[in-house]
Amino acid sequence: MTRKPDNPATPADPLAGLAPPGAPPGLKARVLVAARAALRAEPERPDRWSLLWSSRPLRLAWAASFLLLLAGHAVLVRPSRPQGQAAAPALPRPGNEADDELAAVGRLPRLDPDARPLSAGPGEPSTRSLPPLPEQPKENRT
Amino acid sequence: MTPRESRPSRRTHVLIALALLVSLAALLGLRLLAGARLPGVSARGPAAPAASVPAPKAVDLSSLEFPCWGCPEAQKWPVTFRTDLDLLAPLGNGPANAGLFFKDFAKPGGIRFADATAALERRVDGPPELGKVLPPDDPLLLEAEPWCEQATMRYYPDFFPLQGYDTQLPNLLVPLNLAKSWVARGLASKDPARSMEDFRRAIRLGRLLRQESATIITDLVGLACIRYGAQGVYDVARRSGDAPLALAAATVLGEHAPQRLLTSERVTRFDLRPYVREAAGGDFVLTLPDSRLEVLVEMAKVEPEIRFRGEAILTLGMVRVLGTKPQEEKVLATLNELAASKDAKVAALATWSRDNRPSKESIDQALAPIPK
Repeated sequence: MTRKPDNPATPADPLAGLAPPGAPPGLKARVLVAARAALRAEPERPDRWSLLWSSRPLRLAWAASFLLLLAGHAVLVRPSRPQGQAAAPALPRPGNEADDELAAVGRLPRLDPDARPLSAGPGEPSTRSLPPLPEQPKENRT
Repeated sequence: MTPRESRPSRRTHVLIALALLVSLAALLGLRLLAGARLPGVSARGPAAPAASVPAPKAVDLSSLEFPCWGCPEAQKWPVTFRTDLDLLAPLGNGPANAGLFFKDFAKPGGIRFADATAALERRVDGPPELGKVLPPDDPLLLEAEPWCEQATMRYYPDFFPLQGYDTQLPNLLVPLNLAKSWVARGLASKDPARSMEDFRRAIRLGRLLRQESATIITDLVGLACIRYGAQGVYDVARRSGDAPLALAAATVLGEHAPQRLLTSERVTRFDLRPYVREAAGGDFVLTLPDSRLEVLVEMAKVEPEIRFRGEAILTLGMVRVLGTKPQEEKVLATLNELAASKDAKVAALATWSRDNRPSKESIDQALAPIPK
């Protein structure tokens, strides 16, 4: 807003048009009231998340836990998985000393496949002493 | 004046930080549960739940019979003790599966396999009939004792899947040596009551091993454990003048050899070795009479004891690969039928046998001549 010059021919203040606008009326009072109110009001309390975030002991505890867990993962040894144990025969075969012990338990008395039947004559070829079958297979063992 | 700016919430940051810790901890827990451990530190086995073992039944001589394993009717008997083993060593009442303890020693990948190997190296000379045994106060011996007071032991499928020739076996050297060591300790003890405790523990372990009847070798090791224990009971009862108990133990001992012989007879039924010859290239050529295949199929279908039935099913898998075309078709039809069985173990073995061709190694192991 500009003031009207006293003499229109010669402006009294040639810079008058460049003056900054004045503060709105009543602003000062409003600001002072608001400032007074703000000073009287209790300071804004940070929320619980911010408290957690900024707590130094909690930060230290978190960092310690994190490092411990990482160390735990690094130190633990992964168990070796059973890699599909080698084909397990019905009965074990001897290997080392301990395995021999187990093989001895698993070594069963076997029917002699080369035993002659009681009815076989002296010149007849041997046949297996397997349970009687309708048709006796030919000898084909190795 | 501008209004006071509210601070941004750190909720997301805090939650991310917490989630990171929880994830790492959970992963660590999972790895520990899966058997991961510190290097050089042996994993401690699980604790056995409390259990009690009832006193053996009183031996009533008027009802104690000597089973005739050589008589014709014995062919129909299951290959197990006819004499009530509760006369010598009743099982405990523990609620846990004793396999939970023994499975960890499995070879080669059990998390305590190293412990088993180390224990075998700690063995000392025992009585001549037992060979090397663990020292009386060996930690493994003590750790295993409460597990022999449990009422059950099973491995399949609780701990190991039934996968034909790839089926994982428990490390049977562990129970075998435990049983021998308890019996040796019992024989060395001057207190007959403590001796009997050790003998009965060996018998209970044998009974537990035979419960599942899934594999022949496990059953035979169980049978051996019972024999070791029964021999101890017999010796001490005889020395102490307890004739009825000695007689019961002798009856049990008398059943040991027939069971091994009948196991051998069952093995003979599914043994393909008499019908194979080795060709020039090292391959096996099978000439199996159809009548023998009928015996095999019958065994796979109706054999009441799963350890023999399972072997027959696996042998069918061999015939499918090595037999004639009609035999192959018959085997496939049988395996298809058995794969639909309501018995989970039969179905698992038949499915495996049907869907997996035996490897060259499996065939070699199954058909190679037995060393004399």
